[in-house]
Amino acid sequence: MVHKALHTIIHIFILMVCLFVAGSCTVVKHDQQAESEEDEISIYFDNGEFDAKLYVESVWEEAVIPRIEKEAVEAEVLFNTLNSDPSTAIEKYGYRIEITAPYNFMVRGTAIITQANVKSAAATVSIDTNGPDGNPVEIQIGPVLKGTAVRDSMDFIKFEDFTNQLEFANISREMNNRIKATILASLNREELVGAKIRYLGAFQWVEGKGVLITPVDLVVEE
Amino acid sequence: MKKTLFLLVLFSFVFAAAGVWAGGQQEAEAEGEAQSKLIYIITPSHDNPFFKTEAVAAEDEAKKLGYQTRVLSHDDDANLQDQQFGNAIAAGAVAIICDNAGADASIGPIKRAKEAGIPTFLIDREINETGIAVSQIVSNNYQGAVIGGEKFVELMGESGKYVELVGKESDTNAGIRSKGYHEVIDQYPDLEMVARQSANWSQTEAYSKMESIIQANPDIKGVICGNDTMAMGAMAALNTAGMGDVIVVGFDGSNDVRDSILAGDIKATVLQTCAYNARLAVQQADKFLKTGSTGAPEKQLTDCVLIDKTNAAKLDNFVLSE
Repeated sequence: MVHKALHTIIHIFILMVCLFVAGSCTVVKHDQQAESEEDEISIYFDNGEFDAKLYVESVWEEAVIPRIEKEAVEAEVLFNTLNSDPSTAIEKYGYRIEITAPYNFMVRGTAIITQANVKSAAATVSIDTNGPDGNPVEIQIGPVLKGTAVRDSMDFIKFEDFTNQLEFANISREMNNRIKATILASLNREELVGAKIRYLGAFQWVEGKGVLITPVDLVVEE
Repeated sequence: MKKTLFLLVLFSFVFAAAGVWAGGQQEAEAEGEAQSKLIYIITPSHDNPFFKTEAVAAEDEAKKLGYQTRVLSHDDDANLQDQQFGNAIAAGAVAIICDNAGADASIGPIKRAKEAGIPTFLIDREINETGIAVSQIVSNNYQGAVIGGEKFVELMGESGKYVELVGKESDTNAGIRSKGYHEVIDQYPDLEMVARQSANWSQTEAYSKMESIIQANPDIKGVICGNDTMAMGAMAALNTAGMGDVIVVGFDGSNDVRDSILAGDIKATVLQTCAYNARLAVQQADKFLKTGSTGAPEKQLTDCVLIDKTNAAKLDNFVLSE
């Protein structure tokens, strides 16, 4: 009986503590809501602590470009292998960041631009090289660059090393910004068709789909 | 004074009664635990089929592996989640699978569970700290929002007025999805956002908000939504107003939106592989309990998949068949 009474007292105490904790939590929540302005939707994680631009600057010349230069496969070899023997191509040349993501490939080549697809802001050029799906390969020329192929080809950039998915996403965005501001800014967009180009880049491959390369180097040869 | 005393006595009785009840509850759970190992599965409200699917998949996988389960919903209430973690500790659970109620608010309870020797495996949403949960199998909402945003831009022909319906503000993924959408859409100068409101993930709220937005902006061309239930509400309001050709895009990949896509109403959504993630979390919990390691990094991202009329027919209960 004494034991039971003690039990009850302990429970009362625990419940009171719980109630106190619960009460104070509610107050904090309310304050947060009151602070956010009507039209402003607050974004979690986005506290600006991580400077993705600075991070990309610190790795671009030292690690990103060297890795792509070293690992990139000649376009013809890569596309032929992806077409005839995808599993070998994946094993030899593919890289992915996690098990549900498609594989990424690094590629280099020379080609003639056959078409400029510039109606969309996510503009591309088609080249006289066919991808594993049999259609002409496209290279992104912006201003809008899609995808995360460059980031996801890097073996040293791991999601687990960053605080959250926004930081991880910002890395890709800053890489694409850098590509836009450097190699794509100097591209003469009026004289693309028929030009001979040399390119280096990365793409994410989904079997049966076309190849869309994000370039890290794109030079029009004289 | 008398009144205060009376209230105090009354409260004491209530607490005492609750205490005895809670004590009984614990004993009952302790008996169950002796028979089989217990896994707690805690997710947001099952009113949203996404979370229901997630919980059902986790439960199914746990039972297959020989565990007992206790399935709870924290209804996105961090305090309730706190209590449920407390219950799991008291019941001697061997692991907790959780789709958490807040990136910061969940750190405390997960830490307490860890101190009590109970590993937590997070699914869907991540938290702002590493080293306390064993796994964080994070659905890459940002990547999902980017592909959803890209599809929306394409459907809009890169120009026109549009509306954004945002999810519940306290939910991490509401912000992440919105940011992902804007990352893409804001790069197109001819796309003009005329309204941006939160409809709290709710279908009825999305319907009523959409009704009033339509009155002020009868010339909108598209609506991008933070989840599928809001997309369903928006589409219904647009249909009622005779504006069924407005482009609506959602997020989650529910069967409701699948059917709407197949009927030609909603144009696209983004599938999160929630059933896969839930099963993976249980498998990792099992491996961790047996070997002391999951063999995987703590933070794991899983990609989302775009669903439109080309593949909607293959979608069922958040699983896309090959």
